[in-house]
Amino acid sequence: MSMAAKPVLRIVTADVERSDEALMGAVATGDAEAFRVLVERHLAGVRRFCARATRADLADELTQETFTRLWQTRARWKPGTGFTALLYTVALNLCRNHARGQSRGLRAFFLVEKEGQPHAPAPDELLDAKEDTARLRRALESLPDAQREALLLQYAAGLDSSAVGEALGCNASTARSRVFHGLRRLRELLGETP
Amino acid sequence: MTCPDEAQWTEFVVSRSEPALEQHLAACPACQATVAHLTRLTQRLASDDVGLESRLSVDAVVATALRPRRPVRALVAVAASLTVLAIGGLALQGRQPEMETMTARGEAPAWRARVTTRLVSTSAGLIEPGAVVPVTTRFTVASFGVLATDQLFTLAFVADSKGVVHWVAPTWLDERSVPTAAALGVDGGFRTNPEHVLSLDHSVAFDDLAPGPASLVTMVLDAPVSVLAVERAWQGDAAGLRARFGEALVRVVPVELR
Repeated sequence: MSMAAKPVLRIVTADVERSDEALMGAVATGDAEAFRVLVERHLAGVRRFCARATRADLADELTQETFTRLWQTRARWKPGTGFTALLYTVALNLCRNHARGQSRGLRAFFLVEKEGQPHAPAPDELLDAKEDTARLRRALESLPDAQREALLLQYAAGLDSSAVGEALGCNASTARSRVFHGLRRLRELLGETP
Repeated sequence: MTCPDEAQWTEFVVSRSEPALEQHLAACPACQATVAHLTRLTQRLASDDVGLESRLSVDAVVATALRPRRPVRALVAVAASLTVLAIGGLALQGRQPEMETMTARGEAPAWRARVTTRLVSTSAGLIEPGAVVPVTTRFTVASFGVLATDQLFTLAFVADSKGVVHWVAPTWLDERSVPTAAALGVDGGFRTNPEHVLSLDHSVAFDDLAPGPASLVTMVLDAPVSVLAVERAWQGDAAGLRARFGEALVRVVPVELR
């Protein structure tokens, strides 16, 4: 029995240790297990990015679509490409597309608010947290697109400057500059003191 | 050493590559506070607390991604014609030749409006649940009833025997877009009579409907939810959709595609 268990353990260990790029190479050939490992690794990051880049209530859908597109376009994967840059390019484009049609969504949001579905009042701390999140969202929305996207790719998605640049189609230095200006502006907008 | 300005500390937080600043930072409480504040800001951006908990799981994301889905290429044609017909009661009268009510119908919650939607075939006769429908059928969406002044939205799709979802409403051509439910009635100019409205703004035929058992699904909602949310909630019957979209009107009609 112990002889039979060993190879299984080796396979699991090997999957955990494989790089994103190696896994994506396997995904390109139709390996659904490799795809699953990539989803496990990046699900939280992509959702966080989509939530910050659009709205929290759209994050799940955009995250799902990001991974669906990744699977659908797997055959186009080119070895040597950075995986996270590819993944977040897909997510970024979906968020941008959503932003173009946002006015209709906002109208629906206000419609629902107007209807006033009865609900129990939230505790003060929940309201504070909600307001805090809303303030951050408003501040992010008022940033220039280039700065907001660079900022979110670096901090919400956790990409380094090189991958941020790759996802945005600029070099790492430009990406870092956008993050710098975005962070300064965000601090000003939030009007907070140390 | 004079304290670096905020721009320098921002650069420091972004790149963390200034040994000289690190030395100053270790000895200067004022600058420590500035850096701590900037760091907190970046931590807020990296926080998973985005105001709404996720419903996603790895299993669900993988299963949905791997499920066959043909939203666009399946379209043989989208006729952009607009037809508005007044109808009497719940029976279609004065309708176009060969057009019959085919699928789902029902009433939206009373607090919103009374409205009925139907998936309509432009080639098949009146079809009840369990009926046989040609795979070459051209589908469209009809809606009628007493519409409120607020806007309603509709979604309609055919789920074939392979589990592939084929969208009738909305329809879209750009694969990169994430379409939402189509606006229904009121501000679309379809309202010919406060009691009876029929809207047919496009028709769709598919070239890859799998023969076999299929579901014809229509929904009426008060918000323009995206097709992705619906696809994720769709598990082969109305239960998943009703659980996910509590206020929505959902009708599922089983048919046989041949």
